Amino acid sequence: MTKTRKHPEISGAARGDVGVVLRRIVRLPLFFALSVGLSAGFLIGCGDQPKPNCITSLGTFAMKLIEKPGTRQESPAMACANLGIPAVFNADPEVGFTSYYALDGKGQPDYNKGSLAVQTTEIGTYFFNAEGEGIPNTAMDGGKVYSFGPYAVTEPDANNICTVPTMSPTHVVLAAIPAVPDDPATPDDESAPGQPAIDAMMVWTNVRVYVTAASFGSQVQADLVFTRRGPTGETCTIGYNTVAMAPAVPCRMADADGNPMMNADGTYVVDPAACDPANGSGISPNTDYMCAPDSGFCVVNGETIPALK
Amino acid sequence: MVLAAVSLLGSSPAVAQLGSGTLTGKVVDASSKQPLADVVVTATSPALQGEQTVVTDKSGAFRIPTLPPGVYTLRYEGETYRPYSRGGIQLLSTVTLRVDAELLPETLRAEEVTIVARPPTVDVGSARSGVTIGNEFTSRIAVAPPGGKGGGARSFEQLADIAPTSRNDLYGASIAGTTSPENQYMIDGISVGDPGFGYNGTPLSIEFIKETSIVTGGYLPEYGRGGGGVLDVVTKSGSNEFHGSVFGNYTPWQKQPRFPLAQDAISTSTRLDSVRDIGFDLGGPIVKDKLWFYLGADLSSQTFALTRDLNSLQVDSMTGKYRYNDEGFIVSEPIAGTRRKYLAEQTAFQYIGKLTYSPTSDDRLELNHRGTPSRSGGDGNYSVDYETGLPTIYANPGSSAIIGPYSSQAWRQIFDAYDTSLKWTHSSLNKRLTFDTILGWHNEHSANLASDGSSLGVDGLSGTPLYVFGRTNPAPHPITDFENLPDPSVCINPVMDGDPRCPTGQYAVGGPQILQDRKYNRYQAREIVTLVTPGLGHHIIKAGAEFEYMGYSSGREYPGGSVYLERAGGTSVNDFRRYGGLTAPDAPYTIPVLRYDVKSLSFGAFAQDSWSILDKITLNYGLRYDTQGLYADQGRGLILPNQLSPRLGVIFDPTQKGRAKIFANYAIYYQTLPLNIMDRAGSGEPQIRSRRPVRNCSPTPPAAADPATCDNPDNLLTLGGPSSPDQKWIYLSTGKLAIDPDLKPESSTEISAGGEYEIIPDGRVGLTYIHREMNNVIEDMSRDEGTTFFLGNPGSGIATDFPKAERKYDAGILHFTKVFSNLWLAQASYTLSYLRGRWEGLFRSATGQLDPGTNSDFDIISLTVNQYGPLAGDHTHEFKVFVARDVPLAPQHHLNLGLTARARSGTPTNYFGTHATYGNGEVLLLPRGSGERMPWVSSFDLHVGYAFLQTKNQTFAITADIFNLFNQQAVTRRSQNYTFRPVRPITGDAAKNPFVPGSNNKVIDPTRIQAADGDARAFDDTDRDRTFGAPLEYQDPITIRFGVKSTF
Repeated sequence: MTKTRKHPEISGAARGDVGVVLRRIVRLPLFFALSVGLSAGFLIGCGDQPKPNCITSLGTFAMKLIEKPGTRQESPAMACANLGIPAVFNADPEVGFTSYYALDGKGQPDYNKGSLAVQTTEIGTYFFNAEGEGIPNTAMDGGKVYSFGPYAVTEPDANNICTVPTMSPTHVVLAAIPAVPDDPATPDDESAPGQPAIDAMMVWTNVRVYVTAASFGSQVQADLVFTRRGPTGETCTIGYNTVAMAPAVPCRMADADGNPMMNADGTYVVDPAACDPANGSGISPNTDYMCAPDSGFCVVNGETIPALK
Repeated sequence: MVLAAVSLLGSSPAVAQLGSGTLTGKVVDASSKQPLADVVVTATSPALQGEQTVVTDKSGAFRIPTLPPGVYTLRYEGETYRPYSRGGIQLLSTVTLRVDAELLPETLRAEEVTIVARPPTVDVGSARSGVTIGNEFTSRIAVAPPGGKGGGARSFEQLADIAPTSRNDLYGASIAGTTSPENQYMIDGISVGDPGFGYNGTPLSIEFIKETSIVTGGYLPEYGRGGGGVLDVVTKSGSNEFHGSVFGNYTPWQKQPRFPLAQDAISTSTRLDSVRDIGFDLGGPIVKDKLWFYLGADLSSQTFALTRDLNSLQVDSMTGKYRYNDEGFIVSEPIAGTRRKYLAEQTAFQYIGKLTYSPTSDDRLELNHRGTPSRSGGDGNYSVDYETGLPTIYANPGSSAIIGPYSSQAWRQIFDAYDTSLKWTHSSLNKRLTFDTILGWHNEHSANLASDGSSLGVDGLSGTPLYVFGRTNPAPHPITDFENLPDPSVCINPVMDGDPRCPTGQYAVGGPQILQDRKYNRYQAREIVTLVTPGLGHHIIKAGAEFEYMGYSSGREYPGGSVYLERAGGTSVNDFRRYGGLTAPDAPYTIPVLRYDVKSLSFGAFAQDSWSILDKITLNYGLRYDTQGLYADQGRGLILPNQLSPRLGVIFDPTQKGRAKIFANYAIYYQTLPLNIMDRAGSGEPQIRSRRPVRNCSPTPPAAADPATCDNPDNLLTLGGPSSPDQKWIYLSTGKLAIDPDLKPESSTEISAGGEYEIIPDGRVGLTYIHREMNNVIEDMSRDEGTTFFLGNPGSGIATDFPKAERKYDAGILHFTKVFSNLWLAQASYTLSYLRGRWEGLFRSATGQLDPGTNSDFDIISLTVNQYGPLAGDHTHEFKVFVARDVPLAPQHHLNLGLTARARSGTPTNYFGTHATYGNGEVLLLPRGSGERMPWVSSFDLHVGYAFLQTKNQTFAITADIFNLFNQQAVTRRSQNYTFRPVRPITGDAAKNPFVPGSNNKVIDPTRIQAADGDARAFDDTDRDRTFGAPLEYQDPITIRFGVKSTF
C-alpha cells in the first residue's frame, strides 16, 4: 500500500508566506490600478470625438452677396450700378478665406490661436493689375488688399461656429492704368483695356466660420460694408449679409466656344449638375447648395449658415 | 508486469493560459470505472520547478494549469490503489491535454486489465486555428531565410508563413488576408508590437525561443485585441540542470539576382552579400527547484552588395530613336569605367535574461528582460531598413538607384527594443483558482538619421537641404550635367533631336531625405482570474482586465528645413517639402524639426467560459470590451469607445477519445490603432510651399543648394491667385485632422468551421473553412482633391459619398500535421482562398505606404473608381509541405534531412494610369484585377544536418540550409503602369472588352481612354508605356546558410 501525500493545499499554505507577501505587495496595487483603468476606460468610452480646430477650407470660396435693406447709400443716383456694384463682384465671386496660427512654445503652430484673412477676386484683381504696372496702393489708413483679424474662440463653439468679430479693413486706392492701343505695325494684339482709378474699401465684421468634420470650414457668413469711390467723386456704400461656400465651383453653361451663355436678364444659363457632389464637385454631400444664376457659381442655398441638407 | 495504465482520451476544455499549457484528466477505478476522488496527481518536468500536485475531486477530475511547455510525467497515487506514472507527455503552449488514468485496486490481479495508450494530438477543446512551432521543427527545417525582415537575427516572425493561411508581406506576415501590422506580437505574455506602426517591435531570434504559436483565427477574448493573427512566443527557461549551447551561422553567398534592363543613366543592383550570427545560451538552477536562470546573447550582421552603373541607352544610328527589346525595354549598356560598388550593412545584438522563481508550489514568478539593439549605415555604408530588412537607398527600401552623392543617398538607421516583464501565477483551491498577473514594459527607439552622424537639428547634413534635379522637359538632364564620364561621347545622340542617351530622371545633392527619431513606450498591466468549476459538465471560467499606455515621442525634419525640387519644365524650383506655416498673409516660418508627443490609453476587460458538456461537446463563449483613447500633441485626438467583441465556438468530438473534432466558431475582432495616426494627421503636418526661378536656386553638383539664395524673399515667384491673401507662399496642409463624430472603431467578423481526425499516431488531417470580412474601416478622406482631410468610415457616417472599404477573405484549408515522433515530422497544407475588396489593410503593398488609418486608398473619391476586385494578396492556390527525417547513421551519428516545398498561383495584376494629383500608378484604368495573373511561383528549400551525440546531453551539429534549391526564377512582379500620362478610369460599357483585338489584352483601345492633364491632345498609343507587362522582379535566387551548434 502506498501512502498518499499530504493535501497540496495544506502543504502549499504552510509554505505560502512569500506568496502572501507578494500578494500584498503586487496584487492590491494592481487591482487598484486596474480599477482606475476601468473608470478611465468608461470615461474614455463616454467621450465625444474632439472638435476640429478653427479652420477654413484651403480652396477658394464662392460668395453670395445679400444686400441688407436700407443700407444702400449712393451719390449720385445709380452710382453703385455705374461703379459695377455688385456686378463686377458677381462676375467672379471667388473669395479666399485663409486661417493662420500663432506659434506655440515649441515653434510649432498653436491651433487654438488662429486668425483669418479674406480677399476678394475683384479687389485682388484691381490690386495686382496695378502692382504689375508698378502702381502702389496709396490707402492712407493702412488698408491692404485683404482683411485680417483673430478668431475670438479657441475652438468651434457649441454651434460649431468660429467667430472673427472684427477685421482690419480692405482698402485699395490705386491710380488709373492707361489703356494700351494695339500697334498696327505688328501682327500681335498688344492692346490692354487699362483700369480706371480705384478706391474700394471692404469692412468685414462678425465673420462666422462653420467647422465640423463634414463641413470642414467650408461655409462662412459675414457682414460686409462695401464702399467705392469713383474717380469723379461718385460714392456707393452697401451693407451686405454674405454667405460663402467652398470649394468655388462654376455652374455656367458654356457655348461651343467655351464662353458662358447668358440669359436676356443678364444672368447666366446654369448647369446645376456641375454642383452635384456625385459628379465630383468636391462639395460636401451634406451641404444645401444651389446654382446661382447671377454669378453662375454653386453657392449655399439660403441666407444663413450652416446650410445643411 | 503491467499493474496499471494510463489512457489519454476523451475531450477536454482547452482554454489554456497564453504561453503555458494545461494538463487535465479524470481518474477512475480500472475495474469498476467509477471516478476516484482524492487521488494525488503530480506533474514533473525538466521545464518545471519542483513539482505540481493536485488532488482529484468527487468526479475524479483534476486540472494542473499554467504549466510551462515541455515534456511531462504524471504520477497518480490513490489510497488502496497501485501508483502509476506516465511519461513522455508533450505539452505545447496554449494547449490543454487530457491525460485520463485508470488505477488498479491493489487487490486486483494485474493480468485482468489491458489498456493501450498513446497521446492524442487533436486539441479537442478549441476552435482556434494555427500552428505551434517548437525547436523540433526549427532545428530540422530550413526556416528564417537570410535577407528580409528580421533575417540577420533569424527573428521569430519569419516562422509565421509556415501556417497555412499566412504569407510574407513587406512588414512581416500577412495572416488570413490581413496585413502584418494588424497582427498581435506577444512574447512571454506581453505585447511587443511597435506602438507607432503595429509591426513586430522585438525581432527576437528563434535561438532563444521555445515555442512560437501562430494563431490564425478562431481565438477567444483572452488573446487580446487585434484584427489579424496572433504570434505568441514562449522563450526558453532554465531548469534543474545546466544546459546551453554555442552556435554560429554563416550565409556566404547568394547567386546574383536578375534585374530588368536599366532605363535611366543610373542603375543600382543589390545582392545579399553575407549574413552571419554567433551566440550562446545557458540555463540552469541557482537554487534547485526554486530559482532558475536563463541567459542568451547573439551578435549578427548582414551585408548587401550594391553595384552602381552608369548606362547609355542605345539608339538607331540613322533615326536617333531608341532601340527596344522584345519586352519593351529600351536597349541599354553600362558605360565602361563607371561601375562603383558599395555595401549596405546592419549589425544587431540580442540578449535575453530570465529568472524563474517558485517560492511555493502555488506561486511561480518570471522576470524577463531582453534587448535587440541594432545599428545600420554610416561611415560610407548604406543602411538596411529595420522595417523591411531591405537595403535603403535614398529612403527607399528595396531596389533603388544611387542617384547622387553619398550625403543625399544614405541614412544611418537605429532600431533598439527592450522588453521587461514580470509574470506571476498564483494558484489556490487545489489549482482550481488561478491568478495571473502580468506587468510589462516595451521600450523602442528607432531612427533614420543623416549618414554623417549628426542628430536631428541644424548641424552637418541634418542642416543641409536636399536638392533634386527633376527636369523632364524638353528632356531630363543628361548624366554629364552631374558626373564626369571617361568618354562622354556615349551620351551623345548622333542625330539632332534624337532620343536622349543618358537621361537622368532624378539626381539629388545635399542632405538626405526626411529624418526621423522616434521613441516609444508601451506599459501593460493585466490580471486574469481563472476558475475551474463543475456544473453540468466542467467549466473553465476566465475573467480579466488589462490596461495599456502607449507613448510616442517623434521628431522629424527635412534637413535644412526643406527639399527643393526642380520642376518638370526646368525653369523653376519648388519647396517640394517644407514643414512650416504662416502667422499672417505671406508671413512664413519654417519648422526645423517637427516634434510631437502623442499617446494612447486602452482599457480592456473580458469574460469567457469553456464549458465541457458530458465530455462530448465543448462550448466556448465569451465577450470582450475594449476602449481606446488616442491623444494628439495638442489634446484629445480620437476616441474609439465601446468595442464589444463576442466570441462563440462549438467543438464536438465524435470519437469521444480525443482523436477527432468538428468545430464552428464565430468572432468579432477589433483593431488597435497604432499611434502613427496621431503623430501625423492627428497632430497635423503643417507644410508650406514657395517657388523661385531655377537661376536663383541651382547648385553645381556635388555641392548642395544654398538656402540663403534659394529662400531669398526677393527671388520668390507669385503663386497665389487674385483671391489669395498669400501671394508668395501657399499652404499645402494645416490644422489637425477632423474626426467624424460618429466614427466607428475598426473591426472584422470571422466565421470558421471544420474538422480534424487523427489518422496515424501523432498525425492528423483537417479541413477548415474561414470567412473574414471587415465591418468598419478607418481611413482619411478628402473632398477637395487632397487639401483638407477628415477621418471616418468610408461608406458610412459623414462619408456616405465614399464607397465602403471592403475586404473579404474566404479560404478552404486541407492540412496534415505530424509532430516529431518515430524520427520524422511533417506539415502539409493546401489552401484555396479568395481575397477581394477595396482595402488591403494597414499598409498599401503597391507603394509600401504604412500609415495605418491614413493610407491613400480613400483620400479622394476619384481614387476609388474601379477599386473593387481581387486584392494584391489574393493567391488562389497555395501548397506548403514541410517534411523532416532523422536518419541514424550509427548510435552517435545522425543525419537530419528537412525539405520544404512551396507553390502558389499568381497574384492579380492591374492596368494603372497616372492620377493628375496623386501621381503614377494611382488610377485603376480598368476594374482591379483586370490584368493577366502572375505565373505560379514554386520553390524548394533543403535542410541537411549532421549531429554527433557525444553524450546523452552533448551534441555537436553542422547544418546547411539551402533556400530555393533549384534557383527557380519565376517572375514575381511585372510593370503594371499602362501609362504615365494623367488619365481617367474607364468605366461602364467602355470597360467591357476594351482591348485591341489581337493584342493579347496588352493594348487598350486608346479611344476609350480620356486624358486628365488638361491637354487637348487625345490619348493615343504613344502615351502607352512600352514596358507595360514587362518583368521587374524575380524570385530570390539560391542562397546557402551554414550553421554549427554545440549543445550541452
